[in-house]
Amino acid sequence: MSEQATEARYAVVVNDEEQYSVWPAGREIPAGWRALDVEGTREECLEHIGRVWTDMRPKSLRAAMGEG
Amino acid sequence: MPAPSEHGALGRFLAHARTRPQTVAVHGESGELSYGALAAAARTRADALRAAGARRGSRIAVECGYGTDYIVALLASWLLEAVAVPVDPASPADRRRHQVRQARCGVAATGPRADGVVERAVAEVAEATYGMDGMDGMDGADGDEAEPAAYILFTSGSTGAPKGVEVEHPALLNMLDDLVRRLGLGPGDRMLAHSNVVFDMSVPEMLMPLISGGTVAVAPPRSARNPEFFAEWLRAHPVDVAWATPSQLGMLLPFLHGERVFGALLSGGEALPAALADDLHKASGTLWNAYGPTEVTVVGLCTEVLPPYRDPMPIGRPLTGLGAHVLDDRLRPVPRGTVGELCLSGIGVARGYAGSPELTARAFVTGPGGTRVYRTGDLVRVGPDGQHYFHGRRDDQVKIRGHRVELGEVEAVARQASFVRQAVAVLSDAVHGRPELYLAVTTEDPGDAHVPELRKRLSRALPAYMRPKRVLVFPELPRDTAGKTSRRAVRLLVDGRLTGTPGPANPTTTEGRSA
Repeated sequence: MSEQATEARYAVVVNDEEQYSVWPAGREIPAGWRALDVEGTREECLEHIGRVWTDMRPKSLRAAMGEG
Repeated sequence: MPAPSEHGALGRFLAHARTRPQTVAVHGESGELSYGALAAAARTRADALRAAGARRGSRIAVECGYGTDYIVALLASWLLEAVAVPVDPASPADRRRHQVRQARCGVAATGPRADGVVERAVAEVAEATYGMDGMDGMDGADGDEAEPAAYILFTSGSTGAPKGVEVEHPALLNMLDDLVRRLGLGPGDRMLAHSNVVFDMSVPEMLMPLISGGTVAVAPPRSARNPEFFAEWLRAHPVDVAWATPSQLGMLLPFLHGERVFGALLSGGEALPAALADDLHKASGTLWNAYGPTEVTVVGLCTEVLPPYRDPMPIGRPLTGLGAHVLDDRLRPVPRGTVGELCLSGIGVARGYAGSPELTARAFVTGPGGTRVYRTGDLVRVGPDGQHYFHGRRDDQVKIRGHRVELGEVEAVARQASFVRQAVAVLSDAVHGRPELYLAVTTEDPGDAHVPELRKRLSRALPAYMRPKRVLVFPELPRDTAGKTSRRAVRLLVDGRLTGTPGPANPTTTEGRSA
């Protein structure tokens, strides 16, 4: 996999809807997301997410449904 | 308070069914069905599904083929606030079983010709899940914190198993509304439905007319195999709006004899060549190009295209409610006008891949400003006109007649055979003038002895459009300097075999290696 070419460090992040993602370690985390205390290679972070993200439903409805 | 999903596409349909029940909703092979009759049929089907155990949040495997029965089952699922999981009856049993398990379907809505595979798989899921802790223990089951999704559609996955994309109702309605508005679809208008239900284009084909008071014009099933028949049918039954892939349209055109059979025509699923656009424009009042992955609810970008046409054709600007970002490897915006990966954000972004958090986190990531984006894997450039232009893939995903195929999935299936050492899938147009899939392998024993067995395995695991046109055995496959099998070099090897040695492949040839 080409993604493994550089062994850059990543952090596991989660947003307000409790959706998980990875983010380059050390870079400022964007608004709406917070870092968990888990860092590693991209693959290690993704593996961690695979273990902990057991309920993939978003915490709340992402957008109000309008009749438009 | 009405059920929240009644605000979605279902609610729009039901409103039309209440205000003009006599209007024709579906025009299929078995005749016309009014909005009133379609709503009644959906309610009857919903009652039957409820009796079979379906409830809010259930995932329902919908294996009803195509046309009216399918539309009824889809609407019935949503009446129950359940999630529809379309399954193609023609796809291999193993693949259908995988889809049922991966999406955790506890109920099935099947047609009269079902072979029992889906019903048995569903019964296993139901027993494994409800047996332990009842419905509440099930992912996607009843809960206050979220709306049940609208549907889960499976796409090719590079690791050897298809991925189930879970799309929510607001995403679906947003896409439908935008396209209905753009194309000017209204009451009484006819929209063509001809796509296989596992192809996500089938979703707007059936729902755009139903949310706008129009009619779903279902093409006879044999249209898919017989372009001459399809063209004749279209000339007798012109439609106001149609959607098709350039491959389908290219086959259809010669039989239309210059006749205008479409009011508005949307091309999607693969790149639209300018030369084809010239011809299509004559067959249609207006011509549109749509781009989008299943993960962003069918369509992400769309544009009307006007002559004169030149390659590359624009793939459009984002739909209302969506954002398009062109990013580098580390997800930072590239300078305007340079090539980067297209990442899409906004209301259309899917929940993720059902049951696969790791794959979800890999593809749905944190983008600029903290917005959640889907990485399409498509390389694009924004032109001075603000339009996006396609510049290839960053991975091994290809399009075969509009179907999205991960070459890695075909290879992974081949490698599951113990006698296969290496397997590399490539596209070649050397023989047929259009891209076809070929599989190059090295095997335990030299020669073609294993080919029939391998073909059988591929047929058991993969739908027809993903099966290689030919399996070619080589004594070895070329590697690049890093020691990895080089797809580019294998492609040259395959081209050489296909064009250089007519007839059955000679298993011992190595002549292509120097190419």
